[in-house]
Amino acid sequence: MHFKIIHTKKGFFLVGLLLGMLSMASGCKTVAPWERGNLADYTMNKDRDPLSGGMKSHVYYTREAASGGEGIGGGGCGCN
Amino acid sequence: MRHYLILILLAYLCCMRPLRGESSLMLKYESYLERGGRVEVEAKYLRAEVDVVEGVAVQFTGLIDAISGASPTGMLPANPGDPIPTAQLPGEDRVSGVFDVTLKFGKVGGLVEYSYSDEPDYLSRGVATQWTYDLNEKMTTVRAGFSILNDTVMRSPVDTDRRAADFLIGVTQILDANTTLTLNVGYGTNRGYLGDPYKGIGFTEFSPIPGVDPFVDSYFENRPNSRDKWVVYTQGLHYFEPLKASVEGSYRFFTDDWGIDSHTVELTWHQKLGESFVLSPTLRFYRQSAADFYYTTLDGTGITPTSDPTGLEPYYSADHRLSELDAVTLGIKLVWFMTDAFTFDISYEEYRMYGRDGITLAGLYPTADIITIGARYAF
Repeated sequence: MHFKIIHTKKGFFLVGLLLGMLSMASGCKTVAPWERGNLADYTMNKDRDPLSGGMKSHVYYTREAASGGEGIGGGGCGCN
Repeated sequence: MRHYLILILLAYLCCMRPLRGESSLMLKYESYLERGGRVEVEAKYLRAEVDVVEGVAVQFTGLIDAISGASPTGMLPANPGDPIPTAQLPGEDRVSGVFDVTLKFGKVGGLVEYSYSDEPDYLSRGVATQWTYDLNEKMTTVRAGFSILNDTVMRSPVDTDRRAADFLIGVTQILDANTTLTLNVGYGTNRGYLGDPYKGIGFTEFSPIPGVDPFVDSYFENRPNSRDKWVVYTQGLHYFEPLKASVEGSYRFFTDDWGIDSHTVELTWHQKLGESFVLSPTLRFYRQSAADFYYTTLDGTGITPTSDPTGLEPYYSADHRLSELDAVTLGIKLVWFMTDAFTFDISYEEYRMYGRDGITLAGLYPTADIITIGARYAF
């Protein structure tokens, strides 16, 4: 397959935003492992229901023009 | 092929020796029903996750879904006030399987995936991989991944190909003992036949024969044979210890070279009810602009359609899913942790679409009821 990556101002801005977030991260106060109990709670796990996430994404993919952003993979279909 | 996938899964589950307490089997059933006799989909999902050895797990997700009902053709009604032209869907099944191997060794995590989807008029095969790395005493996780799809569209007069490649980089940051923030940036590119072979667009033909009235003919839509897109996604989670609840919010910006920009905002509240239940109401708002080549009819555009899509200019489509629209989802989900091993869930969502250009017929935008029930067994 042949494809190209677009070098656009938009693309550089978005990557810059990501790098900015990374640099800010180094300034966050460290949370010790024994303090991470709430972070490990079921309600704080964004992958708490991997099937549900994929199912919802599929419904929106079949009805809307936009897709993606949350992760990679999951396969394709002729639904859109 | 579909039956082989099921047999392979069953044989695999029987023969694998999972590590203690880390593996699971999930089943889900989803009913998607558009009101007014439009599209209906019933989907059955199975997901098996098995920890093979320390740091290595395999997952298999199988799906069978059946689509039926009626879908708009893209044509306008013959007279104002007439029903929107629709075509009955053939009632076909789609079978899909996604096989993942995940790795976690120290600060490094990885995933390698193969996907396969088979339906009478579409075949999809894909590979994907994503890698993560923990930094700052696991306060920060960076990720990078890509996927490739190699699809075939079975259409008349000849099958055509569709290729897709997607790239993603991202970071998740623990902000404090109760808050995380994720930011992902993605780029995707599609090549090949990117249209919908079941969508048409009307064009009034004038006969050279005197006395013969003009008539509206239907032509296949002609979308570009390439599409490049960018997406930025951010998600935050915060836990409220006094309330035993968390809030999950996300925002996505999408833009592509078809002229489509979109914004998606989603907010979910996860409320723990005692030790055994979690109730999660959710609200999602989606807005998109129209594709540059979206028209409700070719009359008056100056475009003369071709009998077969070329993927080259001029482009045109009357698919309302490429129009200027909003969509709102209201939903609620209940999870019941029956025991340490068994979990059940049920959810309902109402999905409403609205046109915004004042031209596309309002009746094209459906309202759907989505009901999902599921069960999980951990072993």
